[in-house]
Amino acid sequence: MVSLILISHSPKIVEGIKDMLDEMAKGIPLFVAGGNNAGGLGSDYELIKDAMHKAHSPDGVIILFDLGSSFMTADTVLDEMDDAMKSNFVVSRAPLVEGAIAAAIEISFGANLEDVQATLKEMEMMK
Amino acid sequence: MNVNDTIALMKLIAQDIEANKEYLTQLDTAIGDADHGINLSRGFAAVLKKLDEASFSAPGDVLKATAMTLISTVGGASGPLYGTLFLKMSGELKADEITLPDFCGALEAGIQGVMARGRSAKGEKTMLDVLIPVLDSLKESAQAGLSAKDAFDKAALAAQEGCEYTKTIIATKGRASYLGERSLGHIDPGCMSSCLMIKAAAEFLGGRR
Repeated sequence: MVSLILISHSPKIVEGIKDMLDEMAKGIPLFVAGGNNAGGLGSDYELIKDAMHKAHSPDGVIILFDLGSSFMTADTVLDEMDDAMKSNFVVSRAPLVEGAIAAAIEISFGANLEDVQATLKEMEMMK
Repeated sequence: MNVNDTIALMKLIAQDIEANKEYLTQLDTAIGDADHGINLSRGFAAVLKKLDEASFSAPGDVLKATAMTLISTVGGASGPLYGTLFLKMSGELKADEITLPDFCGALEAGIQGVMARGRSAKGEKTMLDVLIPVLDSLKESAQAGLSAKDAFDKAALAAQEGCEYTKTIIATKGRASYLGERSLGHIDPGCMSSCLMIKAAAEFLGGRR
């Protein structure tokens, strides 16, 4: 199954989305990394790295994020991975909430990485 | 500059970031999320601790430790950005002694790393608006055969001009980009922190600190 990672500057944002996804697509491999390591706003390298390593799956991993700091921290973690592992990760510029819902539903129906990517591609935004 | 000079300079930079924590946060309050000073001072406090605990054999090792510490402790966009800058620089500074041309090569690699990480270019109201003019100035000085001391004095002026220039442009990257034209008239906080680092280097090389 494709894994899904949600990264936000705010822990409440990713926890809130997780609550929604638990209703709509329960049981998918979902990982969240929100805020700093003290539960406040920010982006924590260790939290994000941990989520990315836990989410790692040969079927592929989709990363959705909100702000630049979330993206750049995830990008830094990717840089440290070997090429084989890195190639399993896809960072999407789809909106975090809507992208998460669309991706989670696709994943819950057994879609592969390319299918989920294609769905998210149509939702991409400037960020 | 040898390894001990690099450690001494990094400690001065950490002091200056701490001393300017409120100012950097104030700049970030105007056009960002008011955490630049707090985040960077937390990161550099961890760098100071790291510098005291570990031992280093080359200037590049000091920069690498600084990079890794900033990446894991800053907690905002400046963590991966400064982390990438110092990490890419460290890869170019393997020799025991850094010369001005070596530093130019390293800074160039660092800037390319920042551009890739932030998907950014000059003129978008980011730290690049200080770093790129600083690099250009240092390269020109190196070609003209200036001493490192004189080169950094000139570069510090270029850094200050870079900060002032960001008042005249609209942010198109980072949190300030959501403000559009309302970002005009404000100095970019990332430019100011970069400027503080270059000024510290100039003061250190000039023997003023």
